[in-house]
Amino acid sequence: MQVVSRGARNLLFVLAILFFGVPIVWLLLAPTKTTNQLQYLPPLAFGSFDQVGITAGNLFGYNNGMIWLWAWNSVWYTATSLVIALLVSVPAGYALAKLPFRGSTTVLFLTLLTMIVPSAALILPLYLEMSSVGLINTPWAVILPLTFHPFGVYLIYLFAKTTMPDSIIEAARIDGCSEFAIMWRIFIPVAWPAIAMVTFFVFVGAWNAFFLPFIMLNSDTLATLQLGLQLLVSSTGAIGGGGQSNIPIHAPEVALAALVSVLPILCVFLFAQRYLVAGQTAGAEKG
Amino acid sequence: MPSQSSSRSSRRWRSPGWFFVAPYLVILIAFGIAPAIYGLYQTFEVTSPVGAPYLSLTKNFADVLKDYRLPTASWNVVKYLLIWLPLMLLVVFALALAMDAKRTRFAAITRFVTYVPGAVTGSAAALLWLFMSSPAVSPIGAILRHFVDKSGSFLSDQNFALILAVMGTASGAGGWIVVVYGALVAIPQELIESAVLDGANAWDTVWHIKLPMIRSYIAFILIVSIAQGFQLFVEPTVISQGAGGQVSRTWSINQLVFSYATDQSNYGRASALAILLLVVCVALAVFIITRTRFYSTEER
Amino acid sequence: MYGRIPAVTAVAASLVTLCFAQAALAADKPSITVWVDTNRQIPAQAYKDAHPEVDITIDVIDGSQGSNTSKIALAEKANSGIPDVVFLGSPDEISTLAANPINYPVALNDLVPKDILAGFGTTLARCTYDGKTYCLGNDTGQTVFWYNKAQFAAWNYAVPKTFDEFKALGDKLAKEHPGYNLGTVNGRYGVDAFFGSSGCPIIDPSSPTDVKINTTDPKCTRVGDVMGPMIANGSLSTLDLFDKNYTTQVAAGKVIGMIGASWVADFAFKPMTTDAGTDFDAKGKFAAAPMPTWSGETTNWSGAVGGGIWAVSNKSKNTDAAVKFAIAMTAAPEVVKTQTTYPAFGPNAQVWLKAKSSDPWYAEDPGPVLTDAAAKVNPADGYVRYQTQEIDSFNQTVIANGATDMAGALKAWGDQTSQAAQAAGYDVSQ
Repeated sequence: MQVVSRGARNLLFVLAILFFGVPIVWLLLAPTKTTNQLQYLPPLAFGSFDQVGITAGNLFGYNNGMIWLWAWNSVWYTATSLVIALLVSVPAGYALAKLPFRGSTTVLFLTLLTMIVPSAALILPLYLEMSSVGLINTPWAVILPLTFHPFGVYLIYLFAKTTMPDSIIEAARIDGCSEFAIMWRIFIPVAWPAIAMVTFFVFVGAWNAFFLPFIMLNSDTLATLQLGLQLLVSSTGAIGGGGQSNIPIHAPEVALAALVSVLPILCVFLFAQRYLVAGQTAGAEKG
Repeated sequence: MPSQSSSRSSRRWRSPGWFFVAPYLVILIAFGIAPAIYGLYQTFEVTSPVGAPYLSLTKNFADVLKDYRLPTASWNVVKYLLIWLPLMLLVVFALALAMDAKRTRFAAITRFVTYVPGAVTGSAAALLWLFMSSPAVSPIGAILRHFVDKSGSFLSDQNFALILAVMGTASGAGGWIVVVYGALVAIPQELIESAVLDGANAWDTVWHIKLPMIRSYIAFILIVSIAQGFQLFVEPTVISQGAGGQVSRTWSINQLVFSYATDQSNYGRASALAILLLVVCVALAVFIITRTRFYSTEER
Repeated sequence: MYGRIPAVTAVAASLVTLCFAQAALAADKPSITVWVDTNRQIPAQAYKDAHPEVDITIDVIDGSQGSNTSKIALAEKANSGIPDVVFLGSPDEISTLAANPINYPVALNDLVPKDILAGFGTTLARCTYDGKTYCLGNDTGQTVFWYNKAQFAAWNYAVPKTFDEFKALGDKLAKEHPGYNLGTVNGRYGVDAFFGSSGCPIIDPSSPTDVKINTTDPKCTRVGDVMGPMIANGSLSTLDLFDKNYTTQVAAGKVIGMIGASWVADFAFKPMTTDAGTDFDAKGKFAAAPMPTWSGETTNWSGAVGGGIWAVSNKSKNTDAAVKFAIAMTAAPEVVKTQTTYPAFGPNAQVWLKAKSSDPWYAEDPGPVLTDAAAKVNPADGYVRYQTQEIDSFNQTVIANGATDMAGALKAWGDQTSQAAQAAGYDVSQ
């Protein structure tokens, strides 16, 4: 029995794949063409393999492979903030759901509130904070604020609240388990899907962060992939035109850089999806 | 109830909840609360082109409300929300439920593909969406060409809300699909099975079991999406980067906020407008929490 | 034995003095931080390599509109991390930097040798407030009339000497060859090239707090009288120069002329028509002609579209070194090689043009016309804090509605820009 027939469902998937997939196909094909070819060739036409080589040469040749330095910066800023964020957020979300204390509703409310505070108002205070401890133009000015992830905390909280029965916790307590052991041995194995989801969102948030690196960093050697790409685009006018530059970065190079930047996210997504699937069976065995 | 158990097993020290939350609290205060409070203080500091800055309770708010760009920007954002929110929620829930109904490989592939456009951000997104929305070069140019104006341009301030809604769905739906799907997947299978045994049909399982079970997720998504919608900034900025001159650089309210902060370095006005925006969002969030049945706090 | 002590002491003393001197020298080595965009990184690095006596930190930052201002504003507010020299790709940012609350630049009149300042000609007028000059010019985008000489000859068109002739040419073009046009007037291309050259009072600051805005002034209406009908009959386009819908027209050879900046030929027409998949070959066809004259004027003023500038901090701890760096980046002969657009420093411009004069892409040497136009940039315009709003507003009024109701559009543009100016802290006078 189905809400809709399998045919209708598959049609829905095909439509979705077209809607979401066509822009990506275009992006994949863009580095195979020159800037002008992106205009006069049909949008989804394939250019040439030679052109990919030229495009890659232009992009990776900028400042002797600066893009790899930017990629490396993105990797370790993201990894560090991810680890800290997880260590901080998972216990917090769990405790807010299962070990409520006086003030836990306030913390929850504040978490929700900070999620909807417009970030423009926070530019100056964050900058002043980092400046007062002398961290401006260092990686920590980017890493530390990224460890704050109210979205992740709230997701763990929701997951713990809706899928973790108190009875199990009670039983463990009677057996003499410490709260920490309960969280570590009972909650976390069950919560893998939620943790995978949070990992994914924290990773994407950190990897794609632009504004934070933009205001905190001045040297291009410390820049992340997103910031570095913006650097190139703004000075060469690769997108909106009007940049009078001899640096050979144009639309195809930007598209290639976009693919380089998106690839890790997609890998992490695929990786996290496996845990989501694993969570299905775990959820089925629960209770 | 937890409090009873902690008094019963008092022979062993039970780490109080705040112990687990403490590191997060530090970060919450450092990067969430303290900057927000400073932001609040900023709303009262007025910068003027000559002379020292001074404090005033209302000047920044008055200046902001008098800005000739605010009415247009507000109307733009409302138009956007009215189109984008239903569209995106529909797409998200339809796809997530379909993927949950039959967890096939095809569903997994679809889930992956829906996510990819949202993963492209920043200048890369500027490039991608600029090309997607220019009839001369877009893969869907044939469709777009029916809607161009006399000069051959598809983008304009009037239809921008619709374009942004579609773009916002294409880039935002994937992330929410992941969340909703994850929530659906966590629903214990026996619940569904016992309901079926009791005679529920497919529609009943969706409407009476699956959706209520993820009620709190729905409320969360609604609140955050409304806030995101009101604070629309990235997509219009991204497009105006490349679409020189067809779209105003302060099309949305949040773009206006950023313009105060970056173009004019007038943090007072930026914070004032941000606070006004926040108040509207919070009011809506409170409405959703208290007036709808979505946000239930009782335990199962 | 007693004789050795003075000797030892003497040696010890001189050793100690030497060490201190070395340390003092090392400590005395001035250090400056400069913020440049990717295009200026090469000349900056070359200067750094050539001057090891100065410790130069080169930070390559995003130079898009507003980003320099916001970063410097933050640094000023925290009073740390302020760069000694900064390159501004969007020159109107100097007006925000020079005003409260940032107050970044130092006046260069007494710090730069008089003959060098003079070499910049009128290009520094825009960042001079109250007689104090706050910038050194990197390049200038003076406008000229670029035209397809071959096509004009084929169709027997004359190069317009006045804007009335320009309008008549547009009429003729629309009748005889619809689909062809004489350039675009979108955004900054229209505002600076047309209204700017006419001297329309819309960004006319007399001080950081006073500005004159009056779009009903004849200097504005005469532009509207030309632009409106030409947009209506299609001989002027309203698309952005780099809009994909317009670049296809350029590639197809449909743009037979344009009132545009000095860099338009090199960085718009040339790349758009090279290997563009069309039959149109632009090589050897385009030439520069002097700006047409507005009715009522004797000089054929030109406008200026952009043109980067350099500014020096007034909180610099090594102002000397900073100013030397700025001078080297603008006026030193070595820097001409890396300049992609028309240099602001006169003598450098002549050297730069020599290289251009033999470029086979042009139909003829554009040098004389460009040099003439550079000296005739209309001084009525200046850098203001509401520039982006002015351009945004222009697109929403004049570009959107100018073909049908130019008078109404001009008034709306003036009103909105006045509001923007007031919001930015200016007193607006008519």
